[in-house]
Amino acid sequence: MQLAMPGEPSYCWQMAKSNSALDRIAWLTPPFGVAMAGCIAVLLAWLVLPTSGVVATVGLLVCVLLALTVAQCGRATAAGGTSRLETPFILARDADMFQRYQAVSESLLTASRNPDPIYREIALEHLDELVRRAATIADTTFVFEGTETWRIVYERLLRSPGLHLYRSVAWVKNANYWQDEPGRKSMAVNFELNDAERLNIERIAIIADELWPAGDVWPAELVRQWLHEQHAKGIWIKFVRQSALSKEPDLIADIGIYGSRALGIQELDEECGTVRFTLTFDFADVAAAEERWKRLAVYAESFAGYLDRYEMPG
Amino acid sequence: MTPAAKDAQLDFVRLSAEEPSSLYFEQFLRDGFSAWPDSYQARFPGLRTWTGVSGLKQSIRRLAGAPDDWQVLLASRSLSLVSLASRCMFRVCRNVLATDLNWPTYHQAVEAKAKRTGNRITTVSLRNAILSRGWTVDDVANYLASAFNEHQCDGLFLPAVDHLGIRLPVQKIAAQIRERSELRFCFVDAAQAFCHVPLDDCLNVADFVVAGSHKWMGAYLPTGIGLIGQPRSRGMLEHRVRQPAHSGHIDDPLLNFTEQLDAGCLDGHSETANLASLFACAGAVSHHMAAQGSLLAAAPLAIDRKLALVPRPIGDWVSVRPNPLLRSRIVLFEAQDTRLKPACPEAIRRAWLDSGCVVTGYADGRARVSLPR
Repeated sequence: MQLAMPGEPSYCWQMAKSNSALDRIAWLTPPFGVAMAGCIAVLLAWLVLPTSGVVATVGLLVCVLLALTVAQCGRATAAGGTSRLETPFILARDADMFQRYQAVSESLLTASRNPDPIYREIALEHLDELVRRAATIADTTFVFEGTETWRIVYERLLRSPGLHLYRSVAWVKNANYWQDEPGRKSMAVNFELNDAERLNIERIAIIADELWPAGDVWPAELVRQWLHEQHAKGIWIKFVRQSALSKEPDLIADIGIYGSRALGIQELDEECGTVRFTLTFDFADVAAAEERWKRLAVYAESFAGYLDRYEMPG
Repeated sequence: MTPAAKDAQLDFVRLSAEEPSSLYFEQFLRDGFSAWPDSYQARFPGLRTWTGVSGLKQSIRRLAGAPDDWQVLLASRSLSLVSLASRCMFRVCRNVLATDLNWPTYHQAVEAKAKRTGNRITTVSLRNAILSRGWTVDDVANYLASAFNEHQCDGLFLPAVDHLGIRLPVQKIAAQIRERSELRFCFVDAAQAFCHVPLDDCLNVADFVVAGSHKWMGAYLPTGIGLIGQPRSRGMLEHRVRQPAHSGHIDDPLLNFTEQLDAGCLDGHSETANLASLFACAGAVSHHMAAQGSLLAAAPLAIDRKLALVPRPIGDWVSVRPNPLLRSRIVLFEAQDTRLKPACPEAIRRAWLDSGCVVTGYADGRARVSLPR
């Protein structure tokens, strides 16, 4: 998206002015020069050469012009950049995006017509925020702050066709982790998709030491039940004490890796409420998370393996 | 077919014809022959080996040498259990290691399930190395453990004895794999092993063992037999088995029916199940229970002695035998002189039949003999 608007109006106007001058040169000079040179060449040929020579000269000029046109088109494509004039034409190919472009443009036009300086000041501040958010979106990242509504997007991702593997790292700081209504609903989606064999789910739980003291075989009752239910329903579960990761603190996070498509990072408060959920579609971020997942798996033990060694309390 | 299986089968057919809607039938199914009135017991003595669904499961558990807390599943065919096992396996496994020793139908079923669930099956060749290059138990275990590690597998699907007679050291293989990698699920096809070789090493490591009644057990009618009970996977497997029939997880009317009967809660809406094979299975189990011990513990020498007595066609047929620890009672023969090699499986079968031996012929000119007890 090329909707970024500089903050200062004067700067904006100057930029627009200088750009339009550049645009004028870019659009007018080559055709004018080429036309002049062609006319002179044909005139000279008419004066000096016989008729067949004139025909040959005109033919050559046509060929050169064609070659120049093709080269110009090639350069424009290779450059890949878009001028402001080109933006709507390019966006017009994407009906959904173009609709938003038009809506934003119309809003900007309406806002710019309002002469009230206070209104303008506030409007520009809000627009700056809009610009920042648009830039984040363009950077393939979405941020949900202080809300559980990210779970709607989460469910849409899990249900999306072509997604076969969902790997999750649950940082269980509190026994209420995912035990509230939104959390239970998300777990129900996990179970439903796993049961229907539409999605393979693997989860590593990082458990706070308060919930799994060093001398205890099993974590706290609620956490153990939560893990056991997932294990029994076919989710591959591993778990690790948080203190075991003290030398690799970058592994301690609450994340979800959706195939190789997206990465979600959940930040929770002490009561396990969502502070922020960041979803990114950046492949490099997903690949880095996969690497961290592999490192974390080395520290974690499978729930299945644990059941082989320890009997679960009734 | 064992004599007890035959008796059970005949009397079940008579019962169906003479007492098609007996009030005692459900009780008989659930609790066995002893729950019948004396008059019925006198009329259908061939069914005395029927001890109810729970009784049959208990006998199978003992026959297999499984611990008492293991669960036995009974299905109309073993392929239903292969399907159930692969469903469970691909909940937790992303890449399952298999070999060319697998029974092709089972292998295809597992492969199809892998594809449907977005997972993989990695197949490595083993037969040629075992039969032609004389690989030992250690060679096999090392090779599979390396392949498991190299291909980043997390599941294992092996036959305990393959249809050409190679007996795999399942426990050793699993142990070697676990030294280097994470083995999440081990699925063993014991169709050719049950009542043929001891299952101890499979039961020590396998999460799901599938067997059948119609091969070495001698029930003639097919019944799929499943054994589950490892602490690590039992909960997950039982969860799958307990799922209602309409959920589509278990597509086998006999399995649904026996599970419901065993749990004492018939829903009355399940698909009609053919029960005939259960009685033959019970008869065959009782036959093996009576003879257990002496037969399964048969020394290799006894097998070699029997092999020497196998009547074979004129010509230079020699046995193709793997390393002694990989052998079973299934023996392959091949004609050394290629000019004497019969042209097709049917010709091999006929040539051996003429000399008094029933074999299975293969397109590569080999004949398979199953040595009797």
